Amino acid sequence: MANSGKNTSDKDIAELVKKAQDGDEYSFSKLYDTYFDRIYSFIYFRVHHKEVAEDLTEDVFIKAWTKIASVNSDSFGGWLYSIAKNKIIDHYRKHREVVDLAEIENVIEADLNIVEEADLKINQKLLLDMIRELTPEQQIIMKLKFLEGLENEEISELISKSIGSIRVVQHRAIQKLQEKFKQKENNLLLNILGVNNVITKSIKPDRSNVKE
Amino acid sequence: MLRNKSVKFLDQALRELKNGANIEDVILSLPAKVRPEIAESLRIAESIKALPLQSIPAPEHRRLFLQHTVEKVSRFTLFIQTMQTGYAISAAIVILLVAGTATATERSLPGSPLFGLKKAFEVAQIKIVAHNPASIAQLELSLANQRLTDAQQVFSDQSSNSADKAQAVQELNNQTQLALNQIQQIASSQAVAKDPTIIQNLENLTSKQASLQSQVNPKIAQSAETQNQQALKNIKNLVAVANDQSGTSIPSQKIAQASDIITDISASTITVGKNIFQIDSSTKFVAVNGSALKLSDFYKGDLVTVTGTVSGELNIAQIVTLTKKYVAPVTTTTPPTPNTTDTSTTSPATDNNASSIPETVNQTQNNITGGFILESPTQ
Repeated sequence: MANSGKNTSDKDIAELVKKAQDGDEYSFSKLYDTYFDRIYSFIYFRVHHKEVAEDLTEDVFIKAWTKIASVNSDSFGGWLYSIAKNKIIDHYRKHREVVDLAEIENVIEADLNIVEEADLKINQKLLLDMIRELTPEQQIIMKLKFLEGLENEEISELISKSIGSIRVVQHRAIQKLQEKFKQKENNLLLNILGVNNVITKSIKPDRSNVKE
Repeated sequence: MLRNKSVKFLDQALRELKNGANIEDVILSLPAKVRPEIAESLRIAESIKALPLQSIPAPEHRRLFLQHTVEKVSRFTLFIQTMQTGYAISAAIVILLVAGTATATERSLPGSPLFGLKKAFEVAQIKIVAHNPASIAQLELSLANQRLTDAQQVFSDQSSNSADKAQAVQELNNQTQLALNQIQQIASSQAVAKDPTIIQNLENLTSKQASLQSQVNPKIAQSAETQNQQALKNIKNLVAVANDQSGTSIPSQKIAQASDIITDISASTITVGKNIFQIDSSTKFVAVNGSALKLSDFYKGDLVTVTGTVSGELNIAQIVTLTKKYVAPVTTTTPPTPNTTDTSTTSPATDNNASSIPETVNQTQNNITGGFILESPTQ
C-alpha cells in the first residue's frame, strides 16, 4: 500500500479509512489533511488554475466521503488519485465542445511542469532533454513517480497497470537515462577534446620559417 | 535473473530514499553485485527529483465534504418533518431544491434561507477541531472574517433592506465575540505570541465591524467597540507577557493558568483547585464553545480553565472557561454551593501549599468528585 501521508504510516491510513467507513468524520478529516495538498498539486498541474484546482480537489473529497464504503482501505491513495483524474477529465469535457479522450489524457499527462528552461542549470536542461526522449509511457511514470511523488501503487491505480510493470518500466527508463547520460557525456568530452585540438592547432607556433 | 534482482533492488532502494534514508547508506546496504548499477540509477532518480517544478499557489482548505454531511442530515430531517405533516410532494420539491447546493450554501448571506445551513456546516467544522483550542481559535477567527465579508456584501447590495443589514451586523458581532473569547483563551500560548498576524487580523476585524455597526446603530456601535477594545487589550497583554517569557514553554511567573474544579467562588475571587484568582470587570466567562457566560453560571464543582496574569502576589483572572458542568451525585443531599460566599484570601497560582486551602473546601471537593469522572487537566 502507498504511504502517501507526510508523517502518516500505511497502517495509520488504513485505520483512518476503516474508521471513516464507519461514519467517523474526524478520521476522514485526518485523511483530508493528509492527502489534500498532494491531490491539489496533482490537479493544479493539469488545470493550471488555482480556483478550479481547489474546487475539483474539494469535489474529489466529497466523492471520496460519499463513496468511502466502497474502497479497499489498503488502496485509498490510489483511489483518490483516480477520482481526481476523472474529475479533471470531466472538467475538460465540460469546457470543450468536441472531446477526444486521448487528447485530454495527453493534455493532462504530457506537461512535465518544470520551471522555465532559462532558469535551469546546464545539467538539468540536459536531463530534461533526455527525459523527453523517453517513450510516452516511461515519461508519464517518471513524472508521476519522481516529479509528483506518487507511490507505485498509486500510479498503478491511475494508469491501470500492474505494480510489477511499473517497476520494470521505471527500471528501464532510468537505465535508458543512464545510457543517454553517458553518451552525452562522451559526446561532450569528445566535443571538448575536438575543440581543444582546434585550439591547440591554432595556437601552435608557425615554425616553417625557423631555421634549425 | 540479475535484471529481475536489479528491478527489485532499485525499487526497494527508491522506497528507502523516499522514507528519508541517506543515499550513501542505501547504496552501502545493497549487495556488491548490483551496487554500482543501482548507485548510478539512484543518482539519476535524485537528479530528476531535484528538477524545479513550477510554483503552486497555496490552496484554501474548505472541507466541503462536511457540508455535504450536514446537507445530507438536513435533507433527511426536512424529509421526516415534512412527511410527518403529510406534504410529501412539497418535500420532494424541497429535497430537489436543496440537493447539489454545496456551493450555493457556502456563498449564502445572512437573511437567505441557506444561511442556517451554512452555520450548521460551521458548527460541524468546529466539532472536528474541538480537540485543539488553538485550531478552534483560528477557525473562529476565520469564520468572523467570513461574517465580515458576508456583511460587507449585504451592505454593498442595493436590494438589501435595513433588517438584512441589522442581521448581518448581528451575525458579525456574535462571531467576532466568539473569536475574541477563544483567542483570549490561548493568548498566552506561543502560537499566538509568535504570530503577530492574529492580533493584526483581530484589529482589522473589530475596526471594520465598528464601521459597519455604526451604519446600523451608532449607540450600540460605541459600546460594542469599547467592549472589543477591552478584549483586544487583554489579549495584547497576555501576548506581551508570553513574548517576554519566550524560551520557556510553560509560563511560570507572569501568566497564571489552572485547569481544575472550582473549590470556592465569590463575587471577587474564584479558587480553582488550590489556585485563587481575583475577578474584576475585565474577567470574561465563557463556555467551551466560546459563547459568553456570567459569573452566576459558575458553581463549586464545575470543571474550569482559568487564564490570567500575575500582578504582585495576586492572580488576576482574564478568562474563565467552563469545561464541564458539575453534576450532583444521585446519593448526595448537599447541593452545590452557589457563588454567594466571599473570601479575602488570595495567593498566586504557583502556590502549592495545601494548608492554605480551607478545610471545608477539601470536604466539598471530595463530595463533588463523586458526581462525575474528572478529566485530566488540559494544558
